[in-house]
Amino acid sequence: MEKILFRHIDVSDQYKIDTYIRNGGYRALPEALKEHTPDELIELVKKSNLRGRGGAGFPAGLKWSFVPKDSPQPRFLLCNADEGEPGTFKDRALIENDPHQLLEGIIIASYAIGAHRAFIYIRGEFAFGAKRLQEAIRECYQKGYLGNNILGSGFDLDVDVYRGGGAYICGEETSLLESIEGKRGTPRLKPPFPASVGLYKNPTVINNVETLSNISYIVLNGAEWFANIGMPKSTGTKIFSLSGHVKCPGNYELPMGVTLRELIFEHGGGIKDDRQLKAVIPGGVSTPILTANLLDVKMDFESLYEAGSLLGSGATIVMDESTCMVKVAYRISKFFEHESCGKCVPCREGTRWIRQIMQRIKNGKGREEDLDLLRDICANIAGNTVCPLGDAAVVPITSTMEKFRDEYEYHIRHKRCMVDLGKRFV
Amino acid sequence: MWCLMKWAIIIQIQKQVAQLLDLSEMEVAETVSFYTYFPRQGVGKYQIQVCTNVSCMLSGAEQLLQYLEEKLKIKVGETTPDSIFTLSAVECLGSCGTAPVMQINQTYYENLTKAKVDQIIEELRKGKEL
Repeated sequence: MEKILFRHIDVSDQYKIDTYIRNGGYRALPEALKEHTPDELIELVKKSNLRGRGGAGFPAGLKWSFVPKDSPQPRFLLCNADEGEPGTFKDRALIENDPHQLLEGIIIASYAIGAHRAFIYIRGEFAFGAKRLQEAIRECYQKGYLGNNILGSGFDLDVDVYRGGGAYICGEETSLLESIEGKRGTPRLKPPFPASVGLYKNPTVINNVETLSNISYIVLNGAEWFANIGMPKSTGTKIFSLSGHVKCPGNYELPMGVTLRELIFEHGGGIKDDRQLKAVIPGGVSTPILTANLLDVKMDFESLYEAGSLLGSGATIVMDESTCMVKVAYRISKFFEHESCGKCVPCREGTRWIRQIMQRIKNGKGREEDLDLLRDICANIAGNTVCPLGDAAVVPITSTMEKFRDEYEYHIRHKRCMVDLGKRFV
Repeated sequence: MWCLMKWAIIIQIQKQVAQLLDLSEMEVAETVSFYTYFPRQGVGKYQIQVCTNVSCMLSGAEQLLQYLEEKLKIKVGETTPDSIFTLSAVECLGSCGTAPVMQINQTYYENLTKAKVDQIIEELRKGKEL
C-alpha cells in the first residue's frame, strides 16, 4: 500500500517550501481555489467520507457543512495540534516533517468554510514543531499562499500558531476554544456546537492535524479515490502510533482496516524479547483494553467498536506478559486525576477517588469491597460530565477490571503482584 | 499570552500583567494556575521533565526517574541546591515511540539509557546551552 501522508516522511528537508513544491506540493491549492466553489469542496470531502482523526471519527465534510452559510459573523478554522492522548505521537511527526502538507490543507479548508483567519493550537511541549510551523507560515506569505488575494483568487487568509500551556483537556474542542481566548481550558456545554457558536462566539470548525493533512490529496485525486482506500465506512489511511513492548515502535501509515496482528507483527516486528503478548490498548489510554486473543480485529472505527473498543487516535500501546494490569490502570487513573479540569464534580472528585483506590490496590492494601466501590464510582462519572474526559477516565478501569479481574483479586488477596515486572531501563 | 504568562510567574508580576491586559488580578491568577507550563515557584536552570505515562512506564520510566534522583541527589519535584537542575515527573510528552523520554527545558531526549543520561547530565553540568 502506497503511503499518502508519510510519502515524503524520510525526505530530510521536506519542511522547506521548495522541497515540498518539488515533491508535488501546493498543486491542490490553485485547483481548489480556481476550479471549485467552497460548496463543491465541502461536497467533495463529504463524499470522500474522511472522518476526524483526533479520536471521535466525526465526518469532516459534515462538520464543515454545519457552518451557517448566511451568517454575517467572521468564521474561524482551528487546527487541533494539542496532541496529548498518551500513546499518540503522529501529529508531531506530521508537523515537524511536513508542515506545508498541513498548511495546504488548512488553506483549502478555510476557503471551503469561508474563514479568513485560522489558528493552529499546538501543545506547549512541541516547541520545535511550533518553530517549524512558524517558519513554514513565513515561507507561505513570501510565496503568496497566505495573506491577501491568495494566488490571485481574491481569497484572503491569515494563519497563526498558538502554543498551549500543557493541559490535556485543551485537546477537547470547546476547552481549546476557551484556552485560545486566554482563559482556563474548561469545556463548554454542547449544544451550541462550535460550528455555530465557537471562537469568540463565531462559527468555528476544529479539525485534527491528520484530518487536515489529508485534504490536499482528496482535492487532487478525487473523493472516490480516497473512499476506495481502507474500509467502506472508515476510508483512507490511518497513522498508527505503535509503542510499548514491540521491537520496532513508531508511526505506521496503513489503510484503515489493517489487522492488529499485521500492525504488531509485520510492521512492529513482534513483541520485544520474544515474550508473549498480553494486552493492547488500541486507540490511546481512553479506549478499552483488548486481550491478546483479539489479534485479528481490524483497525477501523466500526470493527474496533464491534470488538468492544475504539479506534481513538490510533495510538496502539502493546503490553507483554510481564505487564501488571493493575499498575497500568493505576497509572492511567493518575493521569486522569491530574488532567481533570475540575469543572464537573463527578469527574473532579471521582478521578481522585479512583486513583486513591487504585493506588492502595496496587500497593497491596486493597480491600475486598474495593472492586464494587470502583464500579460504583465509575458508573457515577460516566455520562454525568460536560466533556468526554469523565467517560474516558472510567474506561481503562472498567475494561481492565472486566478482562483482568483475577489480577485485581490477586493484588487484594495476596498483597502483591502476580507478574514479574522485570527491568526495562538499562 | 504565552510570553506574558511566563514572565508573570518568573518575576511575580501578575499585577502588571493584569493591568496591561485590562483584567483583574484574579483572572490572571486563575489562568496561570490552570496550566502546568506556568510554574508558580522557581525552577532550576535546567528543568528535567521525565515522562512517566503508560508507554514510557512500560519502557522503564520509573527506573529512569529513580536513576536521576540518585544521580542528582534530589527527589522528584525538588531543585538541586545550586539551582541548576529541577527534576519533575510529567504526563505524556507525545514521543511514545522513542520511550523512555525526557524533556529538558524545550529539548527532547529520547530512547534513554543510563549511559545516555550520564552523558546528558555531564554536558549540562559543564554548562552546555540548550
